[in-house]
Formats: sequence, structure tokens, C-alpha cells
Amino acid sequence: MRAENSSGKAAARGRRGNGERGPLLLLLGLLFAVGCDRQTGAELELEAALEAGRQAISGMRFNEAVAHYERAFRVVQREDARWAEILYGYSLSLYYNESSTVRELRIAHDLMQAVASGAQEERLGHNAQLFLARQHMMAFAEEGGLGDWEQAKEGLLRLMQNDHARELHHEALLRLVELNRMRVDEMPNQDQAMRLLEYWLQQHPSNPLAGLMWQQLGQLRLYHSADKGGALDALMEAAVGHLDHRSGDAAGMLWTTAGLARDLGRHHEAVVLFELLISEYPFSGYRSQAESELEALRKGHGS
Amino acid sequence: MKRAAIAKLLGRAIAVLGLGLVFGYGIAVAVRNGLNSNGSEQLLRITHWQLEPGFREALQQAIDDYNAQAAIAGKAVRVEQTPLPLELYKQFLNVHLLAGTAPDIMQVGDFSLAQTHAANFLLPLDGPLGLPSAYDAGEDLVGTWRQHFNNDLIDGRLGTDGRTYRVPLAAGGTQRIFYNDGLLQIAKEVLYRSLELDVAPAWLQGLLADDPDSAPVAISRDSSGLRRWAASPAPPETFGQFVLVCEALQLYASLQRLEDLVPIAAHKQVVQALIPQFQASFIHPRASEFDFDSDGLATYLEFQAALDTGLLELSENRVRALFAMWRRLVEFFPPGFQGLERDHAMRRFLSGSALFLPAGSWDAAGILGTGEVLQPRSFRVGVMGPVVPGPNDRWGRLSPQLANETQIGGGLHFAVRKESPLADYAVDFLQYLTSTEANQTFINRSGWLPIVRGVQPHPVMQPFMPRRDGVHPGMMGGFFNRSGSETLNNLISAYVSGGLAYPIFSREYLATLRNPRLGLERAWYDQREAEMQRVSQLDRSMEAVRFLRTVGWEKEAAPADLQRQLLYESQRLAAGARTIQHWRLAGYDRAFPEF
Repeated sequence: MRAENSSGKAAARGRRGNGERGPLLLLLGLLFAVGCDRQTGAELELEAALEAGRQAISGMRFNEAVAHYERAFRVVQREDARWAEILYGYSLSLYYNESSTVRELRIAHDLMQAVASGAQEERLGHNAQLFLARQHMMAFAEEGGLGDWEQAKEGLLRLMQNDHARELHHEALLRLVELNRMRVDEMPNQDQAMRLLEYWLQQHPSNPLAGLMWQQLGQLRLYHSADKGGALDALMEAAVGHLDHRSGDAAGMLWTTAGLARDLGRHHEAVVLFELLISEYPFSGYRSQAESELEALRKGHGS
Repeated sequence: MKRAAIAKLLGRAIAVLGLGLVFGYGIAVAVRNGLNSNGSEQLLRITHWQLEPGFREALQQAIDDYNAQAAIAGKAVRVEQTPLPLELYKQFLNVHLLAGTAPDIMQVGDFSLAQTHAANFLLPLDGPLGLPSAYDAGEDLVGTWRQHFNNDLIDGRLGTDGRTYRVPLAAGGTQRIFYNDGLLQIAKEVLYRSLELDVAPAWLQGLLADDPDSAPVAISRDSSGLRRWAASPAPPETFGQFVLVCEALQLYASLQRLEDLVPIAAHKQVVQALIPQFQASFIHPRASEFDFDSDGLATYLEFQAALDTGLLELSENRVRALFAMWRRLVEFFPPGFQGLERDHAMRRFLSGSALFLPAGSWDAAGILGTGEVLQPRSFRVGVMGPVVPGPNDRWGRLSPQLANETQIGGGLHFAVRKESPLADYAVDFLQYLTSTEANQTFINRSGWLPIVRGVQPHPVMQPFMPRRDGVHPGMMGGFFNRSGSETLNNLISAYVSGGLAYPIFSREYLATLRNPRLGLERAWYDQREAEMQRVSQLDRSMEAVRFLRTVGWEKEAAPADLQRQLLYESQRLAAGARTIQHWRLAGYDRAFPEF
């Protein structure tokens, strides 16, 4: 629209008082207007393609998104501010389009790599680094290649050291925990996962994910360190301090923690947890058994 | 003159052609819009597969009431329902979803593109669910629309992106046993008279013993309450009493030469539908030993791993008792039940040729009659729950218990088509249907169990309300599992149907369990694969949302806490590490199976 207005003004100036040069200026003005129209058309097409691409990704229709980004590539200039978005959107769509060929997946990887290294100071660049680290994690989970594990670790550490990527630090740290947990049989990795979890919980005590992280710390202490007391402490934090009502397994977590407290002789805590289970989840399948447990604990210990 | 005539003719032809084009275009537009309009009103279409008596009438009542209200409120919309048989429904829905012509509101289940590609075809309902409903009424319905539902819609998240795409109109069903009261009283009369004899008749001698543990199948002779119960009109309260009335009925049928009369009207799905209700009976006291990951559940895999590693043995008394009880139950099924469909069993029962019918609460409206759809019948129908051996019955000393039913979740899930031009009206109609008053009327007529807070079940549905007492169903572990090995399920069916001796069955069971291709290793592998697939889907959703947020599409991306929910779920699964850790905890030292 702005381009059309400016060309109109140029034409108007030509009409106002340039005498003989009037027709020539008019012609130049027309040529300029046609050029601008072309530019405007390209911009409009780019806007439309980007809009449609976002829409398709929003609806998880990645095959459709691929076509829209291909359309965007035809009209966009490399120096356009939206270049990184197009690279990223196209790469993402190729990755998640179920009919992508191996060749297309390689292209997707290269494009994402280009965003990661070309837009290091920008959010899309940080996202791309996290995305690539995640791809290496998934490749390790599926194929078990240690090279992928190392690359994922390196990528996550690099991201965490980047002060510009602060908004992703907490997720990168969680992924690093996950990465260590994935090497189930390696004790050093499990120890490292526990240390990282403890650090994360210190840094983000009131994060909505804290409950789950306390729970995972409890499980790691229980299974890998055989530290039942430490496990119960962590699980108590999850159950009492950070109970996530929207989680589908919150009642199960309360039941398990209460059972552990009972087995460790920490009966007061067991009573609190069974009571919490009954009051917070009256429709839970554990209710009837929790009531029996509570009765037994009260009879046995007068709490 | 000639030229003028030609010109005139040409002009008329052009005019006719023009009119034709306009008319054709008009028809095309009308046909297209006709899918959703009817005169000045727009037509809102709702489709479902609930063809059992009661449901359609109940929905129609709600539709009529809504249409009347809409007319008064000046809403230019009219709702119409299109019921379809389930066999047709799946294909119908898939075709119309792809063609963009699916109804505005549709029932969705765990099938079809609506489930696998919910984000493509269905409208996310998180927005309206997070706000008060337009039809907030009643003390119980305060807060958001989501809070209208008893379970806060945890199971409404169809699809894999964490968004809510469907709402339930009712609770999921429960399984019960319908009985023909006339036949029950006849069987009890036969039993009572036999018990009154000084010397028990031959048929009864084989069932009673002084020591319940040595009784071949049923009950202790000394059971003080047995005669009292036999003299009463009450249905069986224990498994022993259940067996006795079945035996008595078989005797009656034989004496009367009623060849079609059977104790239990069973069909091919009954073994797997009825029997699991009894499977917590004996093994639950040991279930916590198999909860290897201490998550409060003894899952199918954990239970089977206990059998594989010898922590639980098929020769143990509790396990043998379970199988013996199941086998006894199946003895009362009609011959050839494996080839019978559900409708056969229903017809057999309704024609008075069976004493018991195991069925679900969704069948109650048709069998018992609710509201105005009462079915006149020549006999009274009663309802009872599954029964376990009583203290004086055989196996009664194993303290059997039933599983509770507190987690039945939602049923009758409905969703809105994403591209529907009437999406706002569709949401409005669903809010109306889940308001206290309209839902109460719907529940009364349909005979389903309520899920909306403050709505009461129809009085005849009381026996179907979920059992609150009993063991957590997740502590049942269990032998039967829909997602478990088909070969193992078939082996159990073969045993309980009398096709195998127990030693052969247990040998074959363990051999199959340890077969790498068919057994447990495959099941562990499949579970991890399913988990990995879920992780990939979560990643996909997370990355899409992250991208859209980064490029400034905050509003369109997703509900505010979706990113957190997705990360939560992803962290829980830990890219498949959870299942491998679980495998270790179950006692396996070898590498996780790969195929």
C-alpha cells in the first residue's frame, strides 16, 4: 500500500508543473509504479505464503506447510528479515512431514544447521540449536549411537553457556538430565542426572515442573542410590509442596510415597499422605485401600 | 431485417445463457450452503453411532428444547441429528473429514482420523472450557465449563498435542449381570426343595462339602445362611450361590426338556469382558510385589514379568483358584458361544431363554427401560454385580475382592469440526447439553450414567453406579489385556472353555510368554516403541508451538500452559528410558529386547 501511495504522489508531482518534461516524468512514474506493483505483489505473495505456512503448522499439517514454504522461497530475497523464519519453517515442516524422503530430511537438517549457525544471536537460532540437540537425543534413543549422545550433550551445554539464550536455559538443563537418564545402565550418568536435577530444583523451586522433577529425583535416589530416606524426602516435596493436580498419576504418586513412608516407619508422614490422597482425590481408585491403610496406621500408632 | 432478427435471437440466447449461468451458480451455492442451511435458519448437524434404545430419543429431546430456546433467543440455527451404525460410522467420518463435509458435531472414539489427526480436523475446546459456560446454572456448576465435569476432563485430550478436543455427555459404562427374576425364583425353588431333603439329591451332593476347600466347586454344607438365602427372593450374593442357581436351572431345563434354556446368555466377547471383573479376586494381596517401579500400579507387563521370572507361579494356589473359578463360570455358557454375537445373547435373554446376561450399563435403557421407552415384558429383570466366593464358599479363604470402578472416566465424547462455519453454535449446543438441567433430562431418558456435577442417575440406573469399594483396578495386573499378547489371551480362552488341561495350559503359557516373537520380550519392545512414538508426537507439537510463538503467533499457537504440559509429558517418558529402567527393575539383567 505504501508503495502505491508513493508512486501516486510522484505521478501527481509530475502533473503539477514540470512543463515539457511532464510526459516523460509521467512515463517514468508509470514504470516506477509497475515496478512497485511487482514488488508489492511479491511481498503480498510472501506474506500469504508465510501466513499459510504458520496456519498449516498450527494445524500440524506439515505436508501442506512444505508447499507454502516452497512458495515463499520463490519470492523471498536472502536479505529479507523473514529469511530465517522461512528456513526454519521449511526445515521443521520437512522434518515432520511423514512422507519426507531421506534426501529431504538431510536438507531439513542442513537448513536447521544454517539457522543455528547463521542466527546465533536470535531466538530462532537458539531454538534451532535446541532442536538439533533434541534430534541427536532421539537418534541415540532409537539407535544407541554414542556419537549422537555426545553431540546432543555438546549442543545443550553450548546453549546453556550462551547468555543470549537465557529463555531456553531451563529447558536445556532438563534435556541434559533426560540425556543422562537415557544411559540407564551407566551409574555415573545417573549420578550426574541426580546432581543436575538438584541444581535445577535449586534454580527453579517454584517452576510448575518442580513437582515432577522432585518425583524423578526421588525415583533416581530409590533405584540407583538405594537411598530410601533421601527418596522419601524428595517424593514428599513432590507430594506435599508441589502436587500437580492436572497430572494423571498424582494419586498414584501419593499412594506410592505414603507406602514408602509407612515401610520406613515414618508413620506420621504416611498418615498425612494417605489423608491427602483421600481428600484431594475422593474419586481415585486408591481411596478404599487408602482408608484401610489409614485405619491400620491409626490403630497401630494412635496418630 | 435478417441481421436484426439474428441479433435479436443472439441477444435472447445470450440472455438465456446468462440466466442459466446465474441460475446454475445459484443452485451450486444453494447446494453447497444447503449442507448447513435451511431457509433462513442454518442447519447444525450432529452425528453419532448410539443406536441403542433411549439415546436417540434423549438427544432429540435436548435438540427440540435447544431449537425452541434458540428460536426465542433469535439464533438462526436449528440442530438435527444423524445416527449411523458403528460399522458405517468409521468410514463415513473418515471420508467426510477428508472431504471437509463432516457434520458440525460428531461423536468421537478411539478410532478414525478424528483421533489420530485431531489437530487437523477438530476444534480445540480449551478456550471455551477455560471460561464459564453460557448455561451456568445450579449450585454445582460454578467456575469454568471444564469444572462442570466430575473428572475435570483429564480424558478429553484426544490426540497427542495435549489439547482438549472433546467433551463427554455422560460417564463411561459399568459391567453388570442382568437376571430374569422369574427363572431365578424357579431355580431357587429347585435348590430350596433339594436342600430340604434329608438326603441331598445327586446333583447337589457333588457341590456341597463339610470343608469348603474340599468342595468340588461351590459351597460348604454347613453354610448357615444357605437355606435362609434359598428361601428368599434375593439374587446370588456369592460365587457359590451363583453356581448353585446355575446348576439348579440346568437341572430344571433338563427335566422340562427346555433345550434352549441356559444359565448364562454369553457371546464371543463375554470371556474377555466378564472374566476380568473377577481377576482381582485372588491375586491382589500380592500385587504390590509386582509393582516394580512403585508407581502404584501392577501393570500387565509387570504381572507377566513376575510369572516369567518365577516371582509368581502358575502352580500357586491363588492362580489355580482364579483359573478354576473362571472355568466353572464358562461351563454355564451356551454351547458354541465363541461363535455368537452380542445381539444373539441379548435376544436369548429377552426371549426368556437365559437366567443371566452379562452386559453393560449402556444396554440398560433397552433391557430395563428408562423414561418413556419402557419395554413391556413377561418377566421382571433384575441387576446384580459380579460376585466373588463368600467365606463359606470354595476359595473363600483366599479373601477375594472385586476391583473398584471409580475411574470409569467419560463416555459419549463429542467434538466440533474445526472448519465448521457454525462452530460457535456447536460449542453453544454442547454447553447447553452439559448444563445441569438439560443434561439431567438427557441422562433420565438415555439411561447413561452422569458425569456432569449435580446430575443424578435415573433411579433404575442406581445398580450401575461405579463401585467405590474394592481394590484399585490398576492393582489387578491380570492375565487378560486388550493390548497384551493375542496368543496368550487365546490360550486362556482355550483353557477356560475346557479345551486344555491345566498342566498343559501352564506349560504352553510359559512357553509362549518366553517365546521371543510372541511373548513378553515383544510386549516390552512394543511398549517402548509406543512410548517413543508418543515422544515424537510430543516433540512435534512442542516444536510447532515454539516456532509459532517465536515468530509472533502467540495467540494462535496454543493455550498458555500447553508448552509446559508437553514438556512435562516428554520429561515423564524420558525418550523411552523409562521403559528400559522398568525392564531392569522387573529383574532382567540382559539387554533390552530389539526386533
